[in-house]
Amino acid sequence: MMFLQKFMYRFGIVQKSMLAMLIAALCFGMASLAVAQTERITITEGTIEPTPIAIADFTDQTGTPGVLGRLIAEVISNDLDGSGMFRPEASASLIPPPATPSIKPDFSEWTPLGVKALLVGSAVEDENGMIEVVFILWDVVTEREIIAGEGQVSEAGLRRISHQIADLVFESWTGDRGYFDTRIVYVAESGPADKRIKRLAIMDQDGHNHTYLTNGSSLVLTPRFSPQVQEIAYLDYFNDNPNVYLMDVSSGNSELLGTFPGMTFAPRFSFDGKKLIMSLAKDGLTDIYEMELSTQKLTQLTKSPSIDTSPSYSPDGRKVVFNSDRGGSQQIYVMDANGRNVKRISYGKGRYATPVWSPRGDIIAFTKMYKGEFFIGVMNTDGTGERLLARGFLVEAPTWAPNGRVLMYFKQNPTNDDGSGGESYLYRIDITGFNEKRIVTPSSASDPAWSPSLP
Amino acid sequence: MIDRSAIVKSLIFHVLIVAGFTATFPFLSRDVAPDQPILTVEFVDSAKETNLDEGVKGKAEPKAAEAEEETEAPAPAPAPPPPPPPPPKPAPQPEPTPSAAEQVAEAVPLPTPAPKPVKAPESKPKSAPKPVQAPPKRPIQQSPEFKKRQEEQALLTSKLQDLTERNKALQRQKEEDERKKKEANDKLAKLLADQQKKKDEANQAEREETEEKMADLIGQALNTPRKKAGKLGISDQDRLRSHIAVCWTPPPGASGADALIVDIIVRLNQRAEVKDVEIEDKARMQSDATFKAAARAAQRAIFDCSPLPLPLDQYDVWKELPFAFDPRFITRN
Repeated sequence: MMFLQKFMYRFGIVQKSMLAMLIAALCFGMASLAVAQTERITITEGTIEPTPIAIADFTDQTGTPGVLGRLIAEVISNDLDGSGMFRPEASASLIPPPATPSIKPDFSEWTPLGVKALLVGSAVEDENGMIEVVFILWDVVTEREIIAGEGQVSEAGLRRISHQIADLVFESWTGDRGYFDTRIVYVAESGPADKRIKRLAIMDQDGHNHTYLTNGSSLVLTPRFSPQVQEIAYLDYFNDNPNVYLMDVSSGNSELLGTFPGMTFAPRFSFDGKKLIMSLAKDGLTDIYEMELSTQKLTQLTKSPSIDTSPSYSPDGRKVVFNSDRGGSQQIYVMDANGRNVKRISYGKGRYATPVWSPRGDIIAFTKMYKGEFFIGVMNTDGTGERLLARGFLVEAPTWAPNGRVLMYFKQNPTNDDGSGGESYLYRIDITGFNEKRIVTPSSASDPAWSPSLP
Repeated sequence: MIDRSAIVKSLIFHVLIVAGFTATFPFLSRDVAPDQPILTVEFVDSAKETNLDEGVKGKAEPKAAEAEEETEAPAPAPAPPPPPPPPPKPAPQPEPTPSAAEQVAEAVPLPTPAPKPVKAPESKPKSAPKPVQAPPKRPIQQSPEFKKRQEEQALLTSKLQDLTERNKALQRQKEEDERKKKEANDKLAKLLADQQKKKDEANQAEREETEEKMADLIGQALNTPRKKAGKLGISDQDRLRSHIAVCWTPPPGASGADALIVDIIVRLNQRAEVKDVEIEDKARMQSDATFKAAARAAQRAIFDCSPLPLPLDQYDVWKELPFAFDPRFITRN
């Protein structure tokens, strides 16, 4: 205190309040000189649109586009276009690509197209008939290489390697895994009105390589792909009994897993492919059962007077989603894989059915019926964020693409009184709700199931 | 009683102390690195072939900077191991070739001036050696030995003269070289002096500028209570946001459960053109494919939108700008 007083006296500061003012003035002076930096500028709006991409025809040994190269570019182009994430630029074929992928393109030739990405490659046949395929994906804006790769195939494998290149392009650009190297199995219906036959059919996800798996002699329903191996489980009403068969896709041979009276839906596989989950009606009660494939041992998971049906495993195998009317109306429930902790997650108006857990584990797709209309929707695994993606007179049975971002389902037209109508078509939609697209099939199609990425 | 002089004294001290503080604060701000003045160096060669010692071949020798070779365009990635039969395994290996396509900045090789041909020393017309003659005295009957000796002497003398001439020539050459060397040194010294002068001038200009700034700041500090210097205005920020929104297409996966907000730093030149976009979370670029795709989309947005709409007279305010790209608008509806 003494010092303070001396200090004040020395400088002629009579009162303490004046000292306070002096200090305040100093602080003021200091503060006025604090140089403020610009705060972080946050961009919260952007555009959602497909990325314009130029896919050049792949060159052959002459350094110019060849027949094989044009096929590769076409397959990739259709894949990327169908995904809704890319918009392949048609006029890209007018610009001569670099003779080999090792030559850096002259981006000034491509930027006038407005493309953000450029895919170039080569497909050169060697003396053994094998084709060496090389590709590079360029970021046209920053002129940087994004991804490159190569592989060797026979001519028969050209479509598959094109799908795989499309997968890599998709993944490196969007961060999501692609789904182009996959197949779809579905129920194909054909024949005259009085003699309809239903057969299992399989095709590449782009509609090519279409084959029938059964001959239509018995009624087949609800095929399901195993997530691990190329096997399909399906219901076959052979001898008017609901039999569950397991078919090996490459050989076409089917094995009877069991006959399950009262079964109306084919079982679903667990993600490790070792178990099947199903609903069975026994003594008037419909409950959920699990079957160990190796032992064929059945375990009952739910025991309730209500109808519990249409179960689906989570990707980590720890939970099961199913629909039940135990709450008074058909709603979606989640429980532990051992049957405990049953929790309702859907609370919207209407009836919920066929819940399917996404392979990414983050959302559940379902069918909803409300006021006579059908919808396909998704919700988070706790029931929040419900969004309806598609609607129709009858839309049903969503199945997930292995990347968990695209859903396939079928739409059925109403059947007229005279028996006509009732055709059904396969559709595909992105989970953001954009890009609904019909998959062309030779005849009426229903009950689609999506394969995992081919090994 | 109010003491007038005390108030005056106190007021003076207030002003002095405040002025003193404000005067020193500018020194805390960062120095702007002066743009390097372009050095023009003129190479002067000295004669390459001399018999003189190494000291002459000094600073004037032109140094050719070696041009860095461009790395060859990327060779295709090595083929994956042969496919196991029977199913063909066509899966291509994704191998992002690291920056092989980026060209190493090549230093243009400085032209090596062709060494000037060494000029033969100017040969002065040799004056015929004066024959040394014995002064004609009384005719002496010269003995043959004497004659021989005389001839020998004459020969020696002429040889001696030759040597002397040669020596003189060499001496001249040496002087010539020294002169040239001195000339070159002088030239170099002059060049260096010029550069130094330019540098000094630049420094002086900069110093004056800084002094002006200081004066400004002091004036501002004394006049205005609070001033947000160095920050981009709100309307400028809004303009930037809407400008960049048009260029930004985030990958849909980025709007998933854990939204991928990408933080970047953008560096611009004085014309507001984008020089560089730096992604702040480098570790995540390596580990998270979805983040990488979102980050690349943010980079593309900035480059595509270059040059940015910014007030060109405030370069110091926006030459380095931090951005955050938040894709949650995708699922907000």
